[in-house]
Amino acid sequence: MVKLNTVGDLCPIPIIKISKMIKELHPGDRLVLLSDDPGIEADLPAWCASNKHQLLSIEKQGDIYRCVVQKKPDQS
Amino acid sequence: MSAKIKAIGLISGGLDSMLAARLMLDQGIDIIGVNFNTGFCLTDHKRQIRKNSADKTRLQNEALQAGAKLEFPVEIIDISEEYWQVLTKPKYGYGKNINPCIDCRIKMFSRAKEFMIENDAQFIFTGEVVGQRPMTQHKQTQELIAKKSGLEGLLLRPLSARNLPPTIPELKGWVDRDKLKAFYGRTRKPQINLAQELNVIEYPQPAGGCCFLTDESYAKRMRDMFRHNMDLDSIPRDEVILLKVGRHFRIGEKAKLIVGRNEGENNFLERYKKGKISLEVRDYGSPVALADANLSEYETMLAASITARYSDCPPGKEAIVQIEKDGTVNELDVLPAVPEDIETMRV
Repeated sequence: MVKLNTVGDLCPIPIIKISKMIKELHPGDRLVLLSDDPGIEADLPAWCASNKHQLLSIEKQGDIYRCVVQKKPDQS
Repeated sequence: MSAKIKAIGLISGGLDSMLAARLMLDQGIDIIGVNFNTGFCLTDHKRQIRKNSADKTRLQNEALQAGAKLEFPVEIIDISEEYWQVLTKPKYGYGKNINPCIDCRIKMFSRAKEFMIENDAQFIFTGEVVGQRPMTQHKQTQELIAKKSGLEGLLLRPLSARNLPPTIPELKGWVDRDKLKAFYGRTRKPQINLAQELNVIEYPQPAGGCCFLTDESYAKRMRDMFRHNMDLDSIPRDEVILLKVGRHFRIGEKAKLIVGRNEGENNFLERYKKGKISLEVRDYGSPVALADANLSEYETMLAASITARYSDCPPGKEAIVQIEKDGTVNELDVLPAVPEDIETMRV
């Protein structure tokens, strides 16, 4: 599973980074995003919903959010 | 079967852009929303300095929320680096403060055009209403912006379209002009009525300005920075970010001090300690203060004294200020500055 560490980045940078990285993955691939920005709790579900990716989990471990996202299936 | 028409929408997440998007979706247009990160968004900054909050709606990016609610994809595009040229060398000048609104719109539309081509889309739309904002939403200015960004005829404003000449999407029949609106001016009533009609229930209230560059005190700090730097391109971007927070003092020709005003700003300043001198008062409640790394002895004393002024150390009583540079901490005993003595240094 690909890991994207955005600890230290403030909103909206984590979303910009995941958006770039997910384009390089294959449909159905999973990605782990790490963030210490509380805004990720609102932004990531909305980004996943609008872009049809699946948010599998968001867990807070200390100050760090560990989020697992699955890229949407190929719709072409 | 002909391919579906695709459009790129500039989405702030406010009511106007939501309604414009909804009007396009209702006409069967396939849309992708774009939202630009310039680094000067007031809402993003409020999100960045807030304390952790149980109320998630106070932490959300409205453009992403709009995409989620109306079910269309939204891409946030980072133009913060290239935006510096727009800010420091605006061809069409500044508005009331340090807001290069016309150049800003040209930059965003030009980038949106590139995105349109990359995504095989046919045109661009926005939630702009003619006559709503002073600088960029007059008819002539809108024409100028469309021309300079290479989007003549391809820029549709669904909320005001019937007040404007028909665009290519209307002339080619991709969009039914009769179903577009003729809103004009600053009143919000038509938008609120349309929101009810289209069942767009949840939308953010107008925030009263969304860009730091239109803020008077921010503009003052930016101009001070321009005056004290010969080469604007060499200004580190962190210095620009730091203009947004705290109390600022010009303590020397090349030296500035920033003092946090609350917990949120102190936490924000903590992230920018690297390469700077940080100051905190020992034994009392203290703000976080940051100063440039190469202070003279006098400037260091002054910085410590100002930091003590904003701590809980009583006036007239000596404070011990901890001064950290490159991981080494030194202590300095100072008297808190007298407010009248430092007011002239305020930026």
